[in-house]
Amino acid sequence: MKKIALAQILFWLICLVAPLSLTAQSLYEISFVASEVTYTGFLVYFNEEDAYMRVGYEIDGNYNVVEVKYTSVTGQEDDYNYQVMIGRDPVFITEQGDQAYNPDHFVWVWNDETENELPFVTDDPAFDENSMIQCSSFTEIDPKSLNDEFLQQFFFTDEPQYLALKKMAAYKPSTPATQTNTNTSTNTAAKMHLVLFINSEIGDIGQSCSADQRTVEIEFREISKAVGIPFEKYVVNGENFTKAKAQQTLNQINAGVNDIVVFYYSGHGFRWSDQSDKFPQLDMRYSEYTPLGNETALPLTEVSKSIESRGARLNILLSDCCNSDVGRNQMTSTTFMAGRSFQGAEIEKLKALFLNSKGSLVFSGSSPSEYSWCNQNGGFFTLSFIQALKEEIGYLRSNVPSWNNIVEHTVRSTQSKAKSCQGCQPQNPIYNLRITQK
Amino acid sequence: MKWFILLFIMSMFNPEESSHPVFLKHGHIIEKATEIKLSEVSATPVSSADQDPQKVYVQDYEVIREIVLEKDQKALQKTVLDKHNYIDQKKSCPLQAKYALKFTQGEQFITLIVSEDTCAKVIVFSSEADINHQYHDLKEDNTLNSALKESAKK
Repeated sequence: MKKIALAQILFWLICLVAPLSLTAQSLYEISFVASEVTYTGFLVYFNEEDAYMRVGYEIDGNYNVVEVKYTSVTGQEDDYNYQVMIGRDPVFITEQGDQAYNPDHFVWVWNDETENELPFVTDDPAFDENSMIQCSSFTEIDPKSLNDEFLQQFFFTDEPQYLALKKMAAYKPSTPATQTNTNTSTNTAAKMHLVLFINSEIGDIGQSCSADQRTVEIEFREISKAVGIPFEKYVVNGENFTKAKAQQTLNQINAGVNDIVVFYYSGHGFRWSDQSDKFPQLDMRYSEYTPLGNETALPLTEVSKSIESRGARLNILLSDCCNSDVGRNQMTSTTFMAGRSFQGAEIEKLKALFLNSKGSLVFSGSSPSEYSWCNQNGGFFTLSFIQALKEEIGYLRSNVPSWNNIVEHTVRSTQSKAKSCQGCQPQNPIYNLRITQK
Repeated sequence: MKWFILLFIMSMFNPEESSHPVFLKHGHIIEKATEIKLSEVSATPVSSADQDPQKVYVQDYEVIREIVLEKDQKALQKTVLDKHNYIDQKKSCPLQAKYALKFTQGEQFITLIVSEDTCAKVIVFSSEADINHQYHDLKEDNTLNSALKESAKK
């Protein structure tokens, strides 16, 4: 492999991380040349722990395809961001013969000032700088552009992945006028209620909470559109972010017996020192000038009871907030102060999750005594949940979609994000899952 | 993984000392402060209309007691400037103020409102607009909370 000039070493745009984290699966084409052999890779990226690449290359007139599994590590050091995709377990898809293939590893480094550059690749597990070469291309693939000629570079036509990718390429989003809810047995007149409590004003994390709001709102609006049910939104944010307004909003939810209520909270959370309930207190203060107390704290468990009392078929409650000890006992106060669309999703999978499911999920970002972490892109828990949901309903997943899978995947992904964040403490989401699926 | 490779790569592009992640180019106000004041303050600020004229406030936080700093001033300056105490990511816990630490150099000042260590954060107020009223998270194993606690014991 040729030696690279360090002064030309890679930088990659920060937006790379967003597409790699928020879609059901992202598809990329990557090319590089090593020892005069051109390698072309087709990367299917589900999440930081789960990705694979089919690499095609020709040696001595023989065309080979190898599949390499990937895990990713991201982080920050000295004002630079990095992402490393570490390859493992190479398997020959074509005849292996007496060949071997060392898995490739890809490296991006960037900051706000660096220009978009291509990643570097090495097959050296020691990451010796002399072994790194710059890729000749790296592009995201629009699933609609996938065709037989391209796919057959990497897949046999009878492989399940090939068939799923063909299905993805053929998907045409339906318009609301043409969408019909085919689940006539129990799901006629179902409606989705999205309740958003967003602390958009608070100084330290308001920006992150607003990012969470945009992400969650887009996703659930698209889901309701995709499965063809009406959508109603209730938002408590800005200077309306108070306990009184929150309770008033919860009481306004007029849910039918077949409806879906999705509650989402992004803001500060905590627990009283003498609290036994495992779920956190939602801190309903938009201003730090308001003292913390019972008048401003809303237990997630109370929200759960209130929403379940509305009588909807399916209740999904998500809270991305800390569950750490606030350092004081509960006080008995005498005063009371009043995108992307789902083009990568299989609609039948969405219906299984949202129309053919019944019960409640209460899901909170961190265990008792833990913090929930976030950055400018949003909360680790929220990003993980959306990622897990999209992955579960993606074309390239062959399993029957289930809320249990989504919950487990969200937990693992949140744990992983906190683990790879320097200076963060462990974050383990907690939940009560009581959903049955047909 | 040999992370030093990456760090080496990054250092090639960062030959000059980067500015402080919190205080940017204004670290000298702390480093060369002519006056340093540490106070224990109320958990939440009080709006100016509600403030008691008999009481003292720092950035709207009521001063509960002044803490006399003796030989620990230099150590505190170093601790506050230690960029390894700060973290880019944010915790979604509510800041409950505990200390106000003010550094003054002539007309310039930097005041840190430091939260209790149950939710380690600081708010920076300053005469310098580009760092004024900024929120920063502290690492869980930061040395600032412990240094302030130690000073407050005396």
